[in-house]
Amino acid sequence: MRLTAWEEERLLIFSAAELARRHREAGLRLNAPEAIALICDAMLEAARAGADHDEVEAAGYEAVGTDAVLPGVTALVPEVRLEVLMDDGTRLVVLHEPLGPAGDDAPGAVRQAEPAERNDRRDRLEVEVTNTSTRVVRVSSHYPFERVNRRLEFDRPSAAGHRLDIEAGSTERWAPGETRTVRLIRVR
Amino acid sequence: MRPLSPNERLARYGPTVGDRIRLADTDLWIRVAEDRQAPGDEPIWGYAKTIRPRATQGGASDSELDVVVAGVIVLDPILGAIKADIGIKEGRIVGVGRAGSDVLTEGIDLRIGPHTQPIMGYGLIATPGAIDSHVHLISPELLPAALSGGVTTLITAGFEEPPWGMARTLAGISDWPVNVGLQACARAEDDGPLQALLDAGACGFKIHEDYGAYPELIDHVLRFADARDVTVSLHTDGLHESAELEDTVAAIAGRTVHAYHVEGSGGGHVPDVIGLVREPNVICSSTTPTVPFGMHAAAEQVPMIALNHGASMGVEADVALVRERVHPATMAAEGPLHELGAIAIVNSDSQGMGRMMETVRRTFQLAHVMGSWHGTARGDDPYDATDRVLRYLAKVTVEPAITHGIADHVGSLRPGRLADIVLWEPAYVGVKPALVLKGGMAAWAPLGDGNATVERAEPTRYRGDWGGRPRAAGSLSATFVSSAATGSPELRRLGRQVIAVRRTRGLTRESLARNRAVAQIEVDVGDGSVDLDGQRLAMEPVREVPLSRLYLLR
Repeated sequence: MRLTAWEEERLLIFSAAELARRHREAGLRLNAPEAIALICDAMLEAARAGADHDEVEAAGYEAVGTDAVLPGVTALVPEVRLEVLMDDGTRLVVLHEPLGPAGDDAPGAVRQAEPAERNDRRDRLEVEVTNTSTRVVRVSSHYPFERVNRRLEFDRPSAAGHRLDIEAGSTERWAPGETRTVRLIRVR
Repeated sequence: MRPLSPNERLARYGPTVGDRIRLADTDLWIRVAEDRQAPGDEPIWGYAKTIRPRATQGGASDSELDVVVAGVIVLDPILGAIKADIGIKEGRIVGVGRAGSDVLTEGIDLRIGPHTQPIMGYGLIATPGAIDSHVHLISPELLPAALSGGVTTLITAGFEEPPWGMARTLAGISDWPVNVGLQACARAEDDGPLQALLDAGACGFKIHEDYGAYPELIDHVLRFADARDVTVSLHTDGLHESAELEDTVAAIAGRTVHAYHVEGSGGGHVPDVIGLVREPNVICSSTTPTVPFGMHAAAEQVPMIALNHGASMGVEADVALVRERVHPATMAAEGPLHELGAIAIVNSDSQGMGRMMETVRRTFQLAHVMGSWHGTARGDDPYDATDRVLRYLAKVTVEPAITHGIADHVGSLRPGRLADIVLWEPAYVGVKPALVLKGGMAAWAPLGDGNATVERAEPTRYRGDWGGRPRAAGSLSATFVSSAATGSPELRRLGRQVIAVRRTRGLTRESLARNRAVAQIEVDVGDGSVDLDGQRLAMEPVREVPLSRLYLLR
């Protein structure tokens, strides 16, 4: 058989899924490892039978119903990552909330407070920016704005010491030829 | 650019000040007291994110971090529950504060530079690696169990000696990403054999009734330990062959002792060893099987005691001896005494009447259960059990660290400590960690398919990461010894940090962080029931615990 560790891992998923099936047939509701094993097993079997990417994904989403798991388990499975063997080779499938959304006050839930007032008195200014490029240009939150791609045209000297006034890790987008006004904020 | 919705903010930055987080499937919620990050300047790694030159990464400098755990909820028995960045340099924590670049942000105390490895902690909870202060290193199978349960420091409770065996045990464990300190069984009332144990690397002594826990031995070992600043842990005379409780207390004579499994079924004066909670100089712990007191806690005890203490289930007299140690009435008082803070520590008693992977899990289970005990004060806010959570977290982190003279190195995420950090998703806190950092390196985690295009593709299983591999793991870990052995060439050759325990003597409950109570209980010497101020101290055995069925395949 010349089994690699990768193939042995398939057997581990199979064993866990078999155990989960036995528990389900005995009328027991499933816990998180059992539900994940069944989801993975369903996707691997679909791929083995020649299913395409969408069908494999669907097999994963349909494998375990919300009613089949113990209360709270939904919140323990926010995502499942699995590589299956499709007819064109190994492919990644990622399921988002395969058992559904976690629900209020589920295990690990966060109750958000009212956002605190921010007393940020740093100077802000607005600039009109035109994208003269033939490509889409995006600029991220903390890039020094005076140093952006030279194909963005605006009053560059005024932007010295500023960045985009958007949340950390967000971007502004300019389509080719687009002119838009954005707000900048002084760093520090 | 549309601003993020509250849910999107949570997904990108995790919880912040004022937010409340439910710990896994327990009834315990914590409230984030403070956010030390600069709002708007969060350091985030990735596509279009901010940890880059010209953004939250500054230039190279001597103070630049080796590792930053960004935006994590720090849950620490001393620091409390706060959102912060954790800065790590040369394997130790240098700060819990605000990381980034001075060019960009005011108030930066942790500098991200071109050599800083970012670990995204957003949405995760960071606790100190737990300390299990009652480990028997019966087999190496304990080590994956410890790490998978969030334990990164093991203080043993004897049976690795004599020195010949201790040397080989320390060699065998040297490639694991755990700190270790051996407490060796004191079996002699003279100095020579005790000194030999310290010279071989013991960080303290265990007095165990199976090797004699006689008053004269207790007195001698304490006198020896007081002179050398090492710990003494005690499993008292359950037979009453040489001493009863008051004789043991008299022999201790006000000196510092860590009393193990004071509930009693783990061993010790039958049935009133729990009376040691009256003594301020005695720091008391309890072991995993009866934490929390469950409906089947008593049923498993008889075979467990017999198998761990050389008794035979086929010998009627042995079974009778063992049965006398099991007192459900005392087990019922154990939880309340933890809630009051009179029992300070939870530890496993691994493979010697306890479960290595469950020290942290059971401590959180107990915190959950005791929230509904009738003696527990009802707070105004059902969504804020932060104080209780920190008190229980302390039982497996800072309290054993103080007790064993290692609080400068482990037990908290304060600056200066080893960067032994357990990261948890809130839905999994206390039962299955997301990542265990040992000395700042990823050492243990549910790793996935090695062929996959992404990390953590199924099947995910707990395994050693790079920091958990031979040669790396040892250099990231400490062996705790007495000052007699810090220069030992044999120990240094193992490639680990060799660190002496300090300030182990003269400790009382007042020396601890959050479990300082002294309870003047009365113990019924018939059934072991416990009264405090004329009231019975007892909880009902629990039928069901959180952090269990939802999470564990079995």
